[in-house]
Amino acid sequence: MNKRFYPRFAWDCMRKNRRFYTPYLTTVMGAAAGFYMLATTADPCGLADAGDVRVIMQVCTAVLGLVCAGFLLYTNGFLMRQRGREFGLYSVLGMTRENLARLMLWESVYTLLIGLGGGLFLGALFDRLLLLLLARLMGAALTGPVLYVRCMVLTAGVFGAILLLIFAVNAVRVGLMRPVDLITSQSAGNKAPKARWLIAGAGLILVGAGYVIAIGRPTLMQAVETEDILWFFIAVLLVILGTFALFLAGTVTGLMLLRRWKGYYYKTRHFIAVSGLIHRMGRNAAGLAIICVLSTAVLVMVSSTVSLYAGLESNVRQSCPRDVMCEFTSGAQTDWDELLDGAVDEIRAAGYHPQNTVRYCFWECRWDQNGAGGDMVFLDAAGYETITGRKISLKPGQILTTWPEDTLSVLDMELDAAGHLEPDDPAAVYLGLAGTDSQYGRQGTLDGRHLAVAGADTIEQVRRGLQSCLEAGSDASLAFGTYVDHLIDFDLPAGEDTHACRVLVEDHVVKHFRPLETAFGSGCRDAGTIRASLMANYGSLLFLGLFLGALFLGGAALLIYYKQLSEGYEDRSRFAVLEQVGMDAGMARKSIRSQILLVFFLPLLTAFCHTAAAFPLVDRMLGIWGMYDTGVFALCTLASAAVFTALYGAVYALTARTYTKIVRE
Amino acid sequence: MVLLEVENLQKTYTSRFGGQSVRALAGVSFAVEAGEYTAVMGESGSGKTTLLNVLASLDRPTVGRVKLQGKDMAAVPEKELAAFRRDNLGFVFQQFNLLDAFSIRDNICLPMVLAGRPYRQMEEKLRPLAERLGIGEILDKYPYEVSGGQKQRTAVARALILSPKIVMADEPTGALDSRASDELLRIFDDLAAAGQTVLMVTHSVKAASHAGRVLFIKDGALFHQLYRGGDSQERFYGRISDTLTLLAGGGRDE
Repeated sequence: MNKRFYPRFAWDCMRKNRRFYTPYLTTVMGAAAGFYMLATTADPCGLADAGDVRVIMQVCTAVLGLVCAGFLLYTNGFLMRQRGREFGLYSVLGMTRENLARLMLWESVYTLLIGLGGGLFLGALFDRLLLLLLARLMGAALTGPVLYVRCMVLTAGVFGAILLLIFAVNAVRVGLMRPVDLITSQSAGNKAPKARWLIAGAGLILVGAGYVIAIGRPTLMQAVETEDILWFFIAVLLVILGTFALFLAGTVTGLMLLRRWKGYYYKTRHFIAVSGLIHRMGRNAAGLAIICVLSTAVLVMVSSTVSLYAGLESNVRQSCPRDVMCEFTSGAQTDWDELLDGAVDEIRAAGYHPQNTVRYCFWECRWDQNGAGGDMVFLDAAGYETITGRKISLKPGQILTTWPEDTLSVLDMELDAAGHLEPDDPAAVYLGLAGTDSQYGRQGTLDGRHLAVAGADTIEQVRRGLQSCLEAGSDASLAFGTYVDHLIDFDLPAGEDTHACRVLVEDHVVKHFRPLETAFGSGCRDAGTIRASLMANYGSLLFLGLFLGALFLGGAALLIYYKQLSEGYEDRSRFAVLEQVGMDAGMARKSIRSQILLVFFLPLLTAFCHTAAAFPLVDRMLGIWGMYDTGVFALCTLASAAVFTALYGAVYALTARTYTKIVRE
Repeated sequence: MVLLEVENLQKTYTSRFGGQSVRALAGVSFAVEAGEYTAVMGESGSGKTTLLNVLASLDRPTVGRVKLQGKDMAAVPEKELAAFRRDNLGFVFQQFNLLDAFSIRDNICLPMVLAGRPYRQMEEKLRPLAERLGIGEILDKYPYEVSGGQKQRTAVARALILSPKIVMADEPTGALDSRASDELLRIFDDLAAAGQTVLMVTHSVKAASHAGRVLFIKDGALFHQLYRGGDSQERFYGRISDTLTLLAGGGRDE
């Protein structure tokens, strides 16, 4: 046979099967482009100083590779089913298995060339744009080359391997079949599905277990733990498996139950709908389950990453209520007012304009003596006044406290409560005591820690008392704050560099202490630095959420298109028969239409269900990344669901036109 | 009693852009008595299937009228046509036209369900009918699990379940082997013997020879008709065969 025969024949075959091949090639292209682009974000030549982010990106790239392999295998299966008759015909006409394998090999080669070539081209075209988006979201600068050769080679390798695997699977499949099987393979899909109680039950149990973990863990366990992430992935795995089982067996089994109920089943509307659905669900189960899982993934990823990003500013404000916050402590006798005045003068001279300045003393201590102890945070009265704007006057030995009793004993000292504070007093919130710290859970519990406002002298007196008690060799122990901290917090007008300003203040104070041989400590932070580091994290996560979300949505859209195609061919003949046995055309069309709607929107409804169940656990996991605002997350989830539903509906409406065209042909 | 009257039926198909028009029926008139077993014969493309579609109200004639028990079918509004068809006519097709999604039982019950009959009534009618047609054992199977002959008998059962006035069959033996064909024709004989009006379109001489009357159409017009009278089936077969030869030869007079 002519050497050029197979290349040409394979090309003809692909053109003849355009209706099925075009979406397949588009998938390969899209997957390759997506893989390449994600790989470039993980490339070391790419974004500067994104160490953690790079690891996340690498993991996601690897996962995406696996997802692509699975997805292409599945869509290829669909393509091959549609072509069964064609292959059967070829083999009846005298093509051997080797011939068919050679034909498929050439088709694979073309697929690789077109899909990978197109994918890399598209990838290279949009990569810069995508990296720019990532850099913007992360608040970083865009560096690195325009083309990533290493990533291209990686993409080529991965997709070459995937297509080789697919070719092998196809060759084995065709090799195992007799020509007759090939010809009839299309109608083999028409077998009526059977009720499978075991799998349906397993599906219910798996999904239920996943839900119990997702909903139960946050309710039972108070503290957020990193273990939550592990449990989350276990729940995800359970729900994915359960979803497949439910779609494969659950829906059909449930409908079969309805069918047994004769009085219900043998009614005009139910009769057509129940049988039609059993049939459709049986044939489309796997595809629908995949659509459902992809949709859930999109919803969870997008809503959580968007809410992280949306909560960025409030997160910054929570850990850093003022733009610059400096904290110093030293055992040396120093006039702190003078020292901090000097620091403020220096930054003013450097062109900064500090506002809302707050100065206060702060002393944190925990003591313990034979089981009797306490955990207190002392704030001086002057500081309390600047923070809350509330004027108070306290006598020596008096405190204003969140401690619920009237006296507070610190070892052998007695402090009188002049008044009580609410646990969420503005000062407590400002100092980060009002329960937003991840260690203390999210309910605002102070976990035994209390705030006490007292005069600076009283604080120093208590401190000395505790100190001497310790030095006298008592069996009491004291943790934290050997000395009282002195703090200065202020805001800067927008545009002034909080980090540089903070360094100036820090340097000024340090300079003062350098010549002294004395204990000194400082802890300073500024909103700008925190914002930048959060942005790098949240930005890359948001990027991943949006990018993978878009890819998965594309995948779901493609599956929906394939399904509309195959349903269209089936329904064409069904219409005719229903009309002949006396159902009027309009009614038949309406009934089939509504079944199709139900079939395509069932995965979406299930995805909503999964997303709702995942909400509590994801909400807590967001806490690990410092996002605590459940309201914002709920809002983001609803918004994502709304946008996703709109997109899904649009995809459905567009592909439904293909369906209508086929049915009317 | 005349059950079905066909008066000067004409059907012209015009292509969408009005270019060519094809005359599928060129003025067909005949009448079918209640209880009569009639076959319509003709070559492929002679207009048989168009005739059946018009009779079945699946298609509207260009000119002419079809009356069922004196009632003009053109007077039935479009909306009620499906119900009208369901209540009065039963269909059997060459390709069976069973629905894959339904079991044999449900395929047979389909017209009853569409008519909104209660389930108990279905069971009452289904049992004896299925037994009579020899498909009582396979009611719970699905169309892809049974043989062609069984599928066609299912289709017959579906056509009969609402006790239609006329059973219309379009090449019912076309997709069956000779044994299954014989069985099916015997079933039609039984039906006719029990008084069921049957109108069958076929190009099989053997199938036609089971009927009491054969109408021949050619180029959309009624060409000839034969009554079986007291003839044996073999003799009738011979006469039909002779007529067909004449028909193929293009003669117009006998």
